[in-house]
Amino acid sequence: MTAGQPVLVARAVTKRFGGLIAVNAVDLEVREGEIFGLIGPNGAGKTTLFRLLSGVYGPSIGSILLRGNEIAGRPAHAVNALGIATTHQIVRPFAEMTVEKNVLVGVLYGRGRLRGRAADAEVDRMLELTELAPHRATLGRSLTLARRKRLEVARALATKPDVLLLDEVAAGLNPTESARMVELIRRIRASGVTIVMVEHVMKAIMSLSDRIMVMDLGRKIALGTPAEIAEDPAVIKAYLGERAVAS
Amino acid sequence: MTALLARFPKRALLIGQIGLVFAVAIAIALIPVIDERSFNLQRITFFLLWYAILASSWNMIGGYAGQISFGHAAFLGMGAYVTGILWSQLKWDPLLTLPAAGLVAALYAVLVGAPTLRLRGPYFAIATIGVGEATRLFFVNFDDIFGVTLTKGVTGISLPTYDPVTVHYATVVVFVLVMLTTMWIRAGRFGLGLFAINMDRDAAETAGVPTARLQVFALAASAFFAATAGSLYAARQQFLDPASMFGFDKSIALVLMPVVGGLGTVWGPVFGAVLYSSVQDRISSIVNNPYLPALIYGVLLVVIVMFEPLGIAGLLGRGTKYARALLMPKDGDE
Amino acid sequence: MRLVEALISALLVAGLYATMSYGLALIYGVMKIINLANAGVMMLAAFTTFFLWQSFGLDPLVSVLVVAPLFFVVGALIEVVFVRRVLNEKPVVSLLLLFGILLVMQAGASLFLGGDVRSVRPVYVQEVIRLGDVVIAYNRLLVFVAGVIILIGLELFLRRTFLGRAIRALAQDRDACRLAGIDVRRVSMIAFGLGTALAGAAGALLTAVFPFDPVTPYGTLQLKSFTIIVLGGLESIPGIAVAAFVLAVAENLTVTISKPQLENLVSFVLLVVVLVVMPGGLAAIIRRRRIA
Repeated sequence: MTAGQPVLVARAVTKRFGGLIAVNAVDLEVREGEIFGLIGPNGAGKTTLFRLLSGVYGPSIGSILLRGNEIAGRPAHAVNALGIATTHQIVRPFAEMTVEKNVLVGVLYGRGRLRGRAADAEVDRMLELTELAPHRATLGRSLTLARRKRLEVARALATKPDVLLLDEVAAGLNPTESARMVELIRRIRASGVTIVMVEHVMKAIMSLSDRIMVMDLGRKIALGTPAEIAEDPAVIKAYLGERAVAS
Repeated sequence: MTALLARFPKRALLIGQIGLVFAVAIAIALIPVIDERSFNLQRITFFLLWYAILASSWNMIGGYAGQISFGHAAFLGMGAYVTGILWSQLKWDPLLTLPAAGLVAALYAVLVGAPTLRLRGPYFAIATIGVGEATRLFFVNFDDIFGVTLTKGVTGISLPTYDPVTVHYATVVVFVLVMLTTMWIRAGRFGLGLFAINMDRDAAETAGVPTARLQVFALAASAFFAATAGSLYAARQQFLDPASMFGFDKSIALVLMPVVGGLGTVWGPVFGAVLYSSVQDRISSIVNNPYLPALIYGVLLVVIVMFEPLGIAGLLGRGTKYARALLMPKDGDE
Repeated sequence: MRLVEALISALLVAGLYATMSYGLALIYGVMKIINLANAGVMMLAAFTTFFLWQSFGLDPLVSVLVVAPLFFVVGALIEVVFVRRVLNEKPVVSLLLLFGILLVMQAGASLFLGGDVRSVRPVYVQEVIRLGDVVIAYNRLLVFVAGVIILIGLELFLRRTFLGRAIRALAQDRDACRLAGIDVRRVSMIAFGLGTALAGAAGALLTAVFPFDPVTPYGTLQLKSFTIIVLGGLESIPGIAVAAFVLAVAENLTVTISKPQLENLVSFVLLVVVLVVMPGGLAAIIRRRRIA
């Protein structure tokens, strides 16, 4: 696939929970190699959409295609095997495992089909990339928040995805840690992985994204470059009351 | 020597444990060789190994996969009956029936596990209560249902005589196999996946672990070995009936031994087996009431669960770091 | 007419089955744990009823008024002393804990009370009522009526009283309850006690219909309660009443059409079918219908 072609396409995706429609007929097209941002007020349905894309939920209606393969309704591990990896909004490291072992799970069960020494080498690579090497023997539950977030990324990346979904990886980080995360994301994109990210930290997402989609109340309300959506009246209206302004 | 140990601690521990398994196995195997008339010792060691096999097999699903099976006696009994029937009807050598018994039980496990293990919550545990009971009823009523004379219902099947020494050796072999399998699971990719599922099933799924499939596999492996234990029992006791094979006391023992000994550890089930067989021996010589041991076990279970979830292994493991590593606690950290 | 008789008989038994299961569902709904000791409580309640009958001639249906509050206290104690400690652990832990408690109950009863089968024979045990061609056992009818009263009482409690609504709220969202100022620990204790009291009531009612001993029937009765709550949808009281009826009918039909020994297999088969086909139980299907 050449750069710029659509790699992840969602058509009319809808998700209902009982009477609540969390995601309402959303169309999405992510191009290879880009960083695609997803923003919106709380409750807009961003995390639900992510869960639909990663296979944790199945859509009530609609289809999701990864490189032309239908992934809607498939279990999460199958979606991962096809090339999508995700981090979680509330970080979920394997608490009683070391950082190394956490990443090893991703390496052994991901798409790389690596074993033995090659797997260990890959773990080392991931730890280097996310700057977690000094903490490799620390248990998941003993990590600081920033390190847990990087561990989430490392573990997801270890599965060798084509598309990496990042759910609020910068949230809760101080400016230094946040900047570090931004750099990490750039490094990841440089390695050829397409990135879709949900973020509330405007500075991060505005500076990183090639394109941004805005959601509100389950629907897509805008799509464009950061500059375009910063001026979009519908977006400003949805955020009315918030003082989050793109820098 | 200690320098070598320090450089390759994990590998050394692993090899050490494998060595220990073989040492125990050889020692027990030599008993009938050294003293032909040591019937009592042979009986004691048979049951010791037998309980260890059962406890370790239960641990595969209850400890590593974290799914409690209350009806595990179903697999035990199934193995025993498959062997019993193949032996009495088709005149197979009972020890040759072991793989067949194991496979039948494994298939049964897949049948039961596939729908129940993919669900969240306590559904699997609930289902296993049903499985235990239903399997017992199935075997008791088999002849009535199908109009044959195969399982002989409540009266049980009487089996031809068989050399107990051969069974003794076979038991040693199965014990070694179970222990090696347990260690292999614990140290390898399969075990890593199971621990990940245990800690956080959703996170494991998104990390690419096929959670349902792995758990079913663990159940099948567990059922396989439990069934071989059943076959060994049939070969030694030369008699089978639903009360002894599917009895609730067996299901209790199966849960109790690994939990008290150390859930999710390699040697925990063995400790539990040692404890269980000694208690059984002591108590039955003093009091002839089967409920006294059950009462003790109930209390033990409550105490262990509330205060030391890693059981005996946990208590021992409060020592040095290496002792903890030796006991391979459940946390996936060697 | 045999069909009508079978259906009525099923209905009557369903009342008992349902009462057995409310406790389980309530405790699971509020605390998300499966109370394996449910059957043990029933057994102990049955023994208590038996002794009350033997010593004071107390009718089992009247005993409910004594037994239920007694076991409410027992349940609350169990919650405070044991269950509370393991609420935050993995579900494995609470399963094992309650299994241990069940063992202690059964083994203890067998040891100290003896394993004999006991039977309560109240005055009316042989009486029947005839409606046309249909014959109904009087004791079963009374047990059924008691079961209905309990159902109505339970629903009223859960819907009309503050405590009842607190319990329902707790079943939906524990954290929100804390924020709303509900004393979560106290309500949990009460819910567990209530669940145990219901099991106790079921145990007392049981004696009017079946003989019992410390061990044997409880494997199968336990299984039936599980099937019922899974079928009824783990957290819905009316769903359970319906599910109990479905099970009772299925059992009755199986026994009438084929062999009586298969009665207990029915619950197992039903359980597996439900788990495979509709894990949410009847309640989930009803919920889905309501939206569509």
